[in-house]
Amino acid sequence: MLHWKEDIAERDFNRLAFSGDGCVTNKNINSAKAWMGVTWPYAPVVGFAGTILLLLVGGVNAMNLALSVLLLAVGAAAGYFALAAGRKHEQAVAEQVAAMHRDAEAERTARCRAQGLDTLCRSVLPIWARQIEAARKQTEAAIAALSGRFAGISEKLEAAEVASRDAAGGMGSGGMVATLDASRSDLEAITRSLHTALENKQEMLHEIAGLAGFTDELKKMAADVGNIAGQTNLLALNAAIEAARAGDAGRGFAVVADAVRNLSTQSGETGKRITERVDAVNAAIAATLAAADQTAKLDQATIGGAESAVAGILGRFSSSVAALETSSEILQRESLGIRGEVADVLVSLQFQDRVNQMLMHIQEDLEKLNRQVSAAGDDGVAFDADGWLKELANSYTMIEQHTVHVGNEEARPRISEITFF
Amino acid sequence: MAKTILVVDDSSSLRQVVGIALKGAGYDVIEACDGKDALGKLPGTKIHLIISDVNMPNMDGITFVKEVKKLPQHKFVPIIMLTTESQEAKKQEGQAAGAKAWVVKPFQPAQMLAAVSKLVLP
Repeated sequence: MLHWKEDIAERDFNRLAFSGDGCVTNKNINSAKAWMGVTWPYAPVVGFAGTILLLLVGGVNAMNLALSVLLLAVGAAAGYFALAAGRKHEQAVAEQVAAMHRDAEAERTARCRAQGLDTLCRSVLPIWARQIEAARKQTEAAIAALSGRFAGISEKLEAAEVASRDAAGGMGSGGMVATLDASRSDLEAITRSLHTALENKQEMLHEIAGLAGFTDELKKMAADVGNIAGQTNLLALNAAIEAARAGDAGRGFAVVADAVRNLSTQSGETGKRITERVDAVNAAIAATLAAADQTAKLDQATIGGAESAVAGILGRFSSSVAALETSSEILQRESLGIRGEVADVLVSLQFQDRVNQMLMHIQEDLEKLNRQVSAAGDDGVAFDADGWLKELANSYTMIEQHTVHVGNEEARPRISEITFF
Repeated sequence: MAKTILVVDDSSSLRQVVGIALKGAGYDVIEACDGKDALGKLPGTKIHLIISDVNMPNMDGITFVKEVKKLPQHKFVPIIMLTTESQEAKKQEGQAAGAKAWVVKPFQPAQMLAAVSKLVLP
């Protein structure tokens, strides 16, 4: 009976306590306690009323008196037990009420927390999304600027390499090596011309020196002429003597002999003058040869000096060109190395695009969360975490996103994975 | 005369990176920031090759390839897809659209140039 009453009381208590908006409130709890409190005092009253009724109806006799006493005793006992049960039940209800108070408090706290989380989400999610967007844009701008710088470096490097290669003569017709070769060829042609001129001059002087032999011959011929003239003069004298001895008959012959003597005298004088002129010519040739010899020595020294100077200049020029070629080779080698470095940098710069996409996925997911939280309002929203995560995983485009998603170590993407169709 | 390559990517840094590699090899480069922008630059221009990203705003790379294949003047221009996506399904989508090669970022410039020289129109 007590159990039944407690069941009824609990059901009624719950009915009352959770009535209205379904929330456990202090007002509902007090109403439940008040309703429960009126049940237990009626048992003695019922016993007393039964006794009075029995005596009034049955009359006062021993049996009715005994029954009345019994009724009063039963009523009192029932009252006592009811009171005890009521107290016990009240205590149980009080404990239940206290528990419900605690539950209500916990629920209120949880609701407050949920409302706080909603508010926080609505406030902070757009901020996170904006911060990620700002970071993403800044990174992209910085990488773009960096790429631009590398483009400039690459172009300048290429220009320097081409200029150096052209200057060193590795390419093109106007290079240093080509210029050096042309200069060497021109200077060698000049020294060859000078040598040829000097040889021609020596040959000419040799010819002049040969004239000295002719003048000796001329001198001898002039002496022969003088001898002939002396002999002729002697013959003319004998002829004059023979003409005088012949008398008148030899008078004409005497004239001829006289003329021959005159001619021989003139021939003798001519022979002397020839000898004098030959001597003068000899002296002039000797002086010319001496002067030419001196000049030839100077010319030889000049050509020797010129050759030496040209060789020195060409040598220095060659050294400079060799140094330039070496420098150019070093530049080209270094340039090749820098090109390799730039290529590696270009690979590294591309990771920004991958990072960008990862950030964009996070940003989109944050925006999606914000939209759902905002749409749910104050009633809160029930999230399907598994579904959410699956959808997020399906949106990934890169292998490292998948590996990071499941908590594995980040997988590095393969470089230059090319598929031809 | 240098051959012209159209580079389509929403990332300006990536466009520059591709540009450095291509210009260094003697190609002329035209840049576009998405498929729509690229379609606007095609008319009247002789293009020898197209390199396109896949995920782009306004018009994605796959749609862009399909649109190029509809243009009489450019339908035979070879297209290389340059993307972070490496899923086989996505590659097949690119192949079905008409792309000639699929390059996953990041790429080595030398290998990209080898692919370009293999596919570029004479």
